[in-house]
Amino acid sequence: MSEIKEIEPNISWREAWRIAGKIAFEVQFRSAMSMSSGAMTQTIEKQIQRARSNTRFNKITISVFIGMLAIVFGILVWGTLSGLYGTPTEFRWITVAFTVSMFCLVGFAFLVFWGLMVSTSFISTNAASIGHYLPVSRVDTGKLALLAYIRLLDSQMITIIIGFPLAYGIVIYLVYGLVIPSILGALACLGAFLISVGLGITIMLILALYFYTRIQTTGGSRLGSIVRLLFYVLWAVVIMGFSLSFQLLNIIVPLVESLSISLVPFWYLLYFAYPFTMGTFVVLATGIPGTPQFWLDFIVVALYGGLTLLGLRWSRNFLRQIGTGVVTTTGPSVIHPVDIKVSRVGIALLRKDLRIATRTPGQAIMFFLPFLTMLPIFLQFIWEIGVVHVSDVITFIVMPTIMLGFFSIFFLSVEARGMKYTLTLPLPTERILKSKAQLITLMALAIPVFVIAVSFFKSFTNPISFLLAASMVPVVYVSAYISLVLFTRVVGGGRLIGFEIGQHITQMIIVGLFSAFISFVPIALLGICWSWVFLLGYPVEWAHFAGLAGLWAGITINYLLGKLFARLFIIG
Amino acid sequence: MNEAMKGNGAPIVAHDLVRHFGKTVAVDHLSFEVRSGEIYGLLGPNGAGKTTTVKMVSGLLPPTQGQVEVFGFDPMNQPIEVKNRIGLVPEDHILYESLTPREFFNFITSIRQLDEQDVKTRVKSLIDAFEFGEYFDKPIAALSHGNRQKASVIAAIIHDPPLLVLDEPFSGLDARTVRVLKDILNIHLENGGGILFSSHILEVAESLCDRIGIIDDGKMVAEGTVDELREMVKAHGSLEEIFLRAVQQDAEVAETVQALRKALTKNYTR
Ligand SMILES: Nc1ncnc2c1ncn2[C@@H]1O[C@H](COP(=O)(O)OP(=O)(O)O)[C@@H](O)[C@H]1O
Ligand SMILES: [Mg+2]
Repeated sequence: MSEIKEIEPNISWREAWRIAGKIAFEVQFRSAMSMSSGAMTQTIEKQIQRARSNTRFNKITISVFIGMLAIVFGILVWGTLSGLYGTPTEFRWITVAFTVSMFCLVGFAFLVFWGLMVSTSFISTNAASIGHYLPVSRVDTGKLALLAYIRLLDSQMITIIIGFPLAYGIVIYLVYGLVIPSILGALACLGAFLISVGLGITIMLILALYFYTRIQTTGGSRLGSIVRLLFYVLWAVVIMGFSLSFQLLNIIVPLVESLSISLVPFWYLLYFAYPFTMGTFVVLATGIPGTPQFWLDFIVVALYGGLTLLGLRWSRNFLRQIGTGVVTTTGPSVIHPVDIKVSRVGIALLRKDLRIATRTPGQAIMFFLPFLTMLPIFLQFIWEIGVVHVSDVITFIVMPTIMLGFFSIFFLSVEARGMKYTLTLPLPTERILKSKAQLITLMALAIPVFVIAVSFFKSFTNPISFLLAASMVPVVYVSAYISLVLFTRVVGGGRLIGFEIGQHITQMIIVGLFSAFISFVPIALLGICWSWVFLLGYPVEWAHFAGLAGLWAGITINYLLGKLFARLFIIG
Repeated sequence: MNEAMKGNGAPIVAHDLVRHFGKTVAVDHLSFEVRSGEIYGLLGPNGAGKTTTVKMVSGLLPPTQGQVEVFGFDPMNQPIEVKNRIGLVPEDHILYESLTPREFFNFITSIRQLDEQDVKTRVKSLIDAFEFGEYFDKPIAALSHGNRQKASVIAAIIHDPPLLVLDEPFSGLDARTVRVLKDILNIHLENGGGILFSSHILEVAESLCDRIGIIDDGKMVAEGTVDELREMVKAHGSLEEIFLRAVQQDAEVAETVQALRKALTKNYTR
């Protein structure tokens, strides 16, 4: 037998990074392929090209988005240190520390969120197993799988790791004009974000593992549902932090300031905990005047760094196991009697989507959209407003309505790999889109529910407020429907196509913006009709009813527009 | 078999079907017919265009040229009518991974609005025949290839369609399951249904099909009953020879095997 060529037992990191890029692309390509009906009508070459350009385009979109966050971060730090926000000098260190901490948390949450979205494709396309067929060592297999996973998130990670420290270093230089503190600060910031990113990846993998070994296998058991519920509560916490940091600067600044200042007495304890350790570390390294001597922090940071390394090593092993199929997915073998239950078509579609979504980590986020959109505004309401006027309610519900419309495309991700099967069923494309719009309408019910919740704390001047809030539900339905139709037209050429975050985020944003505009039509009509009647000198009650009528006219217009688009654009 | 389901016309009439993928011609002027009570086999080597044909018949892929009618309906323009009448077992049985077969069957019977009692008896007997009971509540993601194939077959016949379209249905199935599936196909034929069946395995096609169309490079190279095909190529013996002769590969295969033998011959004991 001729000699078997031994491939170097250790691939260099550079080589591994290159191969991992290929595997990562394979993951995206496979999952994009498996869910598009276009996959059957286009040539493979064209699909590969398209997947490649989509991937590249999306990476740019994401980087720009994170870059903008880094700029916001820089502005916040600069505004604090330069005294622009009027932060008292002795409290500036803690406001900066708190800001850094919060953005570390955002980076962490972003990776967990995004990673969970792609973990489904990563595991289900079984791309990690590619390493097993190559003549590489076991350690290298794990290395390849880990790097491939990381490369699915590379643009996010790289922008986080570079963008925030860069912004920080520049701001420190601008404020103090000193080179050494700005370099030290930037380096500390780099460390802080590196640790956050590493922790994010580990946590995300633990969650993914959890889903695949337990939740997927328990089918419909009660324990499974409880465990899943706990998972969602965790999600809610992450998402809430995430969405709060996205509120506008004028909400954040006073909040950050008052919150961080109120934390001063507890800081000597808080800085032991992530993410506050990171903020303290950066502030100490920069030498911002007034910072207490929390020198122990360096040791804590080192501990977190060690923990991250351990976590990454564990992740590597876990990913290696995914490939070999060591991660078992067999549940308890209790045999229940065979039975078939027939329900209505609409119910069956919704039930299927809800089931799939609750069992897929990346899709669980959709159950938080109501909270994501409502809770910050709800809290603001409870804190800031005395008696609730109709105009307050309108400002209260406009944002969530528009946001839900914006996110509607996301619900197409539920079809995922099952899309190919769905296409074989006698279901018109339009029926499936309608079902997705219904799914998001379920989430939109949160709007009236939250308004009713506010009424337990505050008194309303006019009960028409509730009617207005309830009317937002159909506003969301029609705009979601229109954006689903448009997405199907733009991305699928009129045939049903699934949403895959690594492939379609840019298209989602474009269609989402259009959808936001569409949901604004009824709201604008509300405003126009209201002010028209009011300015003509009629009583305010009349104006309210005119506004409501305008709103419903807008809903009707959008409904008809949706029908028209569906007729024009949808095939099959 | 529900007579009303049959509409008018033969189960499948394909006329002059062509499908291009860029420069590749996957199906090249293919015409064939599947009649009621008949099992028609599309036989051809890998890449011959079987799956592409199956997809055009079941309304998943528009033909570049030519027409196909399923019980008189056009799969692209009347997809609902066609999908209601076809039981499709696709080549890649991608199902809803995170659902259990129970949830999956509930879903499709609801989508198709079938009669609960009818379906229940039918599914029960299928599950017994396939020994599938213990997988009924496991996520499809956790099922082996063969068990997914079983789920896929059950899903395809759950609505009692007059036409079955099976793309390489026997791949990866054990002997018992193959036997059960063959019986299912026979019962379907006895009920007057039609079957389109694709395979690259000669023995299966030979033993099962009423008529066979041998395709290669998207073209029909020979068509007829097994006996007619034998007559046609004026050879005796197994269908394998006929098959290779029909696609004019036998000389070429002999040559390549010779070359392969040279390349692979080694002395492992050296
Ligand atoms: N989406 C596609 N893009 C490009 N080529 C394709 C595509 N689908 C099939 N083909 C090509 O068409 C030919 C027929 O494929 P297929 O119908 O799958 O063959 P079979 O099922 O008989 O093995 C093959 O050459 C295959 O490579
Ligand atoms: Mg095939």
